[in-house]
Amino acid sequence: MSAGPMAGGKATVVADIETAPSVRGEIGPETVEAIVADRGEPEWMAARRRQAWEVYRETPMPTTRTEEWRYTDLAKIGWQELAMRDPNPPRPVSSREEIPAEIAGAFTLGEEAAAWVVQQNGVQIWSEVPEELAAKGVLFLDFATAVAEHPELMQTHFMTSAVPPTFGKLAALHGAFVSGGTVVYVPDGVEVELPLTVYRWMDVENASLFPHTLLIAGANSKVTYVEECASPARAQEGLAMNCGVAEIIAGEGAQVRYTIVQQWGRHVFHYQANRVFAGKDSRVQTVLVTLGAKVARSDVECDLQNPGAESEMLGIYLADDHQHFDHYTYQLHQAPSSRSDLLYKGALKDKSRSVFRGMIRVMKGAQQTDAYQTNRNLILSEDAHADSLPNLEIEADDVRCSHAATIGQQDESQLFYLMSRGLTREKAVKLIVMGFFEEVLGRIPVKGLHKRLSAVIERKLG
Amino acid sequence: MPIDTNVTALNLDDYKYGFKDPDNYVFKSEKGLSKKVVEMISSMKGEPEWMLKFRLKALEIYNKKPVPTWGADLSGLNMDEIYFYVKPSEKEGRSWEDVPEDIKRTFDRLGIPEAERKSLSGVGAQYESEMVYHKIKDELSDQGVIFDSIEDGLRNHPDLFRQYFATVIPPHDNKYAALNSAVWSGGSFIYVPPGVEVDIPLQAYFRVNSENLGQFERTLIIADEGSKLHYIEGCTAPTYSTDSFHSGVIEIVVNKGANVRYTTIQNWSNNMYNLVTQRARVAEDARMAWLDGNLGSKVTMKYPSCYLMEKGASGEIMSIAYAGPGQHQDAGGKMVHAAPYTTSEIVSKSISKGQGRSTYRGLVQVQKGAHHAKSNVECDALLLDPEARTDTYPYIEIDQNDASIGHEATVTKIGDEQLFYLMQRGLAEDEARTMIVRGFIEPISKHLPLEYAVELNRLVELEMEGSVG
Repeated sequence: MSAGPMAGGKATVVADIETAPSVRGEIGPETVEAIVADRGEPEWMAARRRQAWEVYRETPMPTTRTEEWRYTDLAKIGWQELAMRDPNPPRPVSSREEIPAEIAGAFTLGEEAAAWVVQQNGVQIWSEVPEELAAKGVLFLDFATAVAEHPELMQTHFMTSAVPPTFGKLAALHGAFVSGGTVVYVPDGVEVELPLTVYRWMDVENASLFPHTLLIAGANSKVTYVEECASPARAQEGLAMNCGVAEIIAGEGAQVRYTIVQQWGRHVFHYQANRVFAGKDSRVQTVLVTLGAKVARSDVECDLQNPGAESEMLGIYLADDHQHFDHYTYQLHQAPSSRSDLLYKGALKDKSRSVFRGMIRVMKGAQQTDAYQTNRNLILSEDAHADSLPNLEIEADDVRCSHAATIGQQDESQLFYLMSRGLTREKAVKLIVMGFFEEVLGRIPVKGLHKRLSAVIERKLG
Repeated sequence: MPIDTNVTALNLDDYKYGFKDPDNYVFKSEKGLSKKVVEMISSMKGEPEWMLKFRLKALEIYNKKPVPTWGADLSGLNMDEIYFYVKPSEKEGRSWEDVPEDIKRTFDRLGIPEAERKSLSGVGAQYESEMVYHKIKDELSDQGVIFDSIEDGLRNHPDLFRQYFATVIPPHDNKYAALNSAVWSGGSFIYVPPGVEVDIPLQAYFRVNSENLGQFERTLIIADEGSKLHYIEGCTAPTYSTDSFHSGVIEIVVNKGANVRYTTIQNWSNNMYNLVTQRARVAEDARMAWLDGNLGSKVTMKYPSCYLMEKGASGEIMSIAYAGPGQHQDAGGKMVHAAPYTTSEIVSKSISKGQGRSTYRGLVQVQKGAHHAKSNVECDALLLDPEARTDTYPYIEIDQNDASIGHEATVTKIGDEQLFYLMQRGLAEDEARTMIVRGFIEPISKHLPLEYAVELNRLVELEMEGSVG
C-alpha cells in the first residue's frame, strides 16, 4: 500500500548495501569465499553460502515502499559504516575465571541453567555443558563445531525449512555471511528440564555479526532455550549490525520454549528473523524482549503446518531516547485444529517509535483454527510515536480468530487510585507500566531472568 | 445438500435490477480516454475555461499515476473498452413528467417516485453520465437550500462552487480521483445555509444502463455552520457480460457545528468495478457520519473518510459489506485526527459467502497536537462457506501520547450452538441462519432509513435462502 487512499509512506533515496562506499568490494562473492577458506568449511557449507549469496543478489533491498518495511527505513541505517566481518575475532578462554569481567558482570552466568555458553562477537569463548546431557544425546554446540562434526544434521535443517535464504533480503545476507551461533539438538523423547542458555556479547564497532540459532526438538522431547544479548555499558560510537536468524523446528508432540532478551548497545542495528516450524501436536512458546539497539527489527513467524500444533508468541518492548523498534509477526495456519495466541506489549518513552505489524493467515482447509493476536501500546511521552497494524487473512470458515490493538496512555483512574494512596505521579506511572509488562514477564520460564528483567525495565523507566 | 428449485430461483444470481433498456442516448463518446474526450465533455457542458484546465491537468495526473496494486485485483479493468461519456437526454427534468419515457420507466421499476412519495426532501436521479431529474421541496429551497445537479451548481453558483470544489479531494489524491476530476459528469451539488436543518433525507439514484459505460459522478456537499443534512444514494446497473466502471468522487464540507449523514447503498450488478473516493472535512464541533453499504459490484474499493480538522470534530463510519461468489468488497474507512478533542468510531461488519472475499482496510491516524483524541474501531466478519475469505488490514498511526485508540476484530462462522438453540425453538435451519445474519448486521441496519433497512433485510433473506449446507 504505497499509494492510494492510505498513502503515508515517505519517499526515500535508497542507499543499498552494495553502493555504500566502505563496504564495496567486501560485500561480494570474494568475501564469501574468504570466509569459507578462513574457516576451512566443507564444500556443502560453501555451496550453501554461495546459494544464499545468489538469493541476496537477486532480492531487491526493501524500501519504505515495500509494505512490510513501510515504517522502518533501511536506507537510514548507515551501511557505509559497516564491514561484513569482525576484523579482530576474540579467542576462546581456557577457564571460567578468564571470561572478561565486563562480560561476566553483565550477566548472571549459569543461573538456573542446565548448560550454558558465552559467545563474544559471534565466537564461542566458553561453554559448560555437563556430561549427562551429552549422554542423553543432547547437542548444545557452537555453529562452527556443528558444521564440522554434524554435517548430516546441518545439511538437513540449516536454512532449509524454517528460514530459507528466500525468506528475505537480510535473511539471505545472513545465509551468505553467517558468522557463528548455536545449534541445539534434543533427541526423541528426551526432556531437558532446565534451560540451555547462551550469553551473547557484542562490542564490535563498524562491523557486522551474523549469529545463527538452530533449535531442533525431536518427537515428544522437551527443551527450554534462553538467549541473552548484551553490549558494554560504556557508549560506543561506530555502527554495528547484528543480523541474526533463529530456526526452531519442533517435532511431533515436542514442547519448546525459546526466549531472547535483546539488550544491545545503542550503536547497534539489530535484525532478527525467527521462525517456528511446528510439528503435529507440538507446543512452542517464543518470548521476545526488546530493550536495546538503536534500530531493532524482528520478524517473528510460526508456521503451523501440522494438525494440533500450538504456538504462543509473546513480546515486550520498552523504548526510550530515539530508539526505533519494529516487530513483524506472522501466524500461519496451514493445518486443521492448530492454535496460536500472540500478545505483544510495548511502552514508549522520549522520542522513541514502535511499529507492530501482525498477520494471522488461515489457509483454506485449516478448519477449527483458533488464532488470537493482541498488541497493546503505552505512550509515555509527548514525542513518542506508535503504529499498530494487526492484520487478518482468513480463508476457512470454521475458525475463531480475533485481534485487538490499543494505543494510549496509562489509565487515569488507575493513576488517580495510586496517587490517592500517597504515591507520586512518577511512581504511580512506573507501577502501572510494571503491571502492564508483568502479564508477559510472568510467562518467562526462568524465574531469575524474570526478576532481573523487571529490575532492568524499572531502571529504564527512570 | 437438498436444493429447492424455487429457492434457487430466488438466489443472488437473480439480480433484481439486472434488466436493461434499449440504448437511446442522444450522445455517446468514442471508446477509451483521451484529451479529446475530456475536451469534448467540457464543451458539451459549456464549462468555463478554468474547469477545462482543471480537467486536463487531472488527466495528466491520472496518466502518471500507476494502477494501485495494494488492494483488489484491477487487472480485468480495461480502460480502452470504456465509454467515458454518454448523454441520455437533452435536459434535466424538474418534474417527473419531463423525464423521457423509457428512463422514467427504468426509475419507476427502481421505485424512485415511489420513494419520493414517501415524502423525501428531494430526489435526484442520474442515468448514465447525466442527471436526468432533480427536485427539492419548495420550503427547503425557500430557506436557501440548494440541491442541483453538479453542472447546474457550477453554472448557477460559480463562486460558491469554486470556493469548495476539489478542496477536500484534490486530483492528485489517488489515480481514480484524478480520473474522476478529468471526466466527471453528473452528481449533486448541495448547499445547506447556516442553521438550516434538513430533517428528511435528500436522495439520489445512480443508474448505469449502457454496456461498458464509465460513470463518474461528482458530488459536492457544503453544510454551513450549525446546519443538518442527511443524504442517501443508491446505485444499480443491468447485468452485462462485459464489465462496467463506476468511479465517483464525493466531497463534503462540514462547517462548524454542522451535522451531516451520508448513506450509500451500493447494489451494482456483479460486473461493475466500483472505485470511489469519499471524504469529509469536518470543522469545529461538527459531526460527519458515513453509512456505507456494499452489496453489489464485482470489485469495490471504497474507504469513506473523515478529516477531523478542528477541535471537537467527530466522525463515524458504519460499513457493511456482503461479498458473494465472484465479488471482492475491499472497503473500510479512514479517520484522520488533526485537532484536539476529536473523536471517531468505525464499525465494520462483513459477510462472505461462496467464494466471496470481503476486506476491511482502514486507517486511524492521530497527528501531533491532536491531544485527547479518541478512536474506536470494531470489525466483525462472518464466513458462511468454507471457500469464503475475509481480510482485515487496519493501520493505526499515533503521534500523540494522550490519544486513546482501540481496535478489535473478530472472525466467526455461524455457531452450531446458536443454530441448535434456534432450531430447538422450532425454526427451520435456513430461517435460523437468516435470523443470525440479521442479528449480526443489526447494529448497522438500525441506522438505515426504514425502506433501506427493509430492503437490506430482504436482500439478506434472499442471500441466505438455499444456503443450508
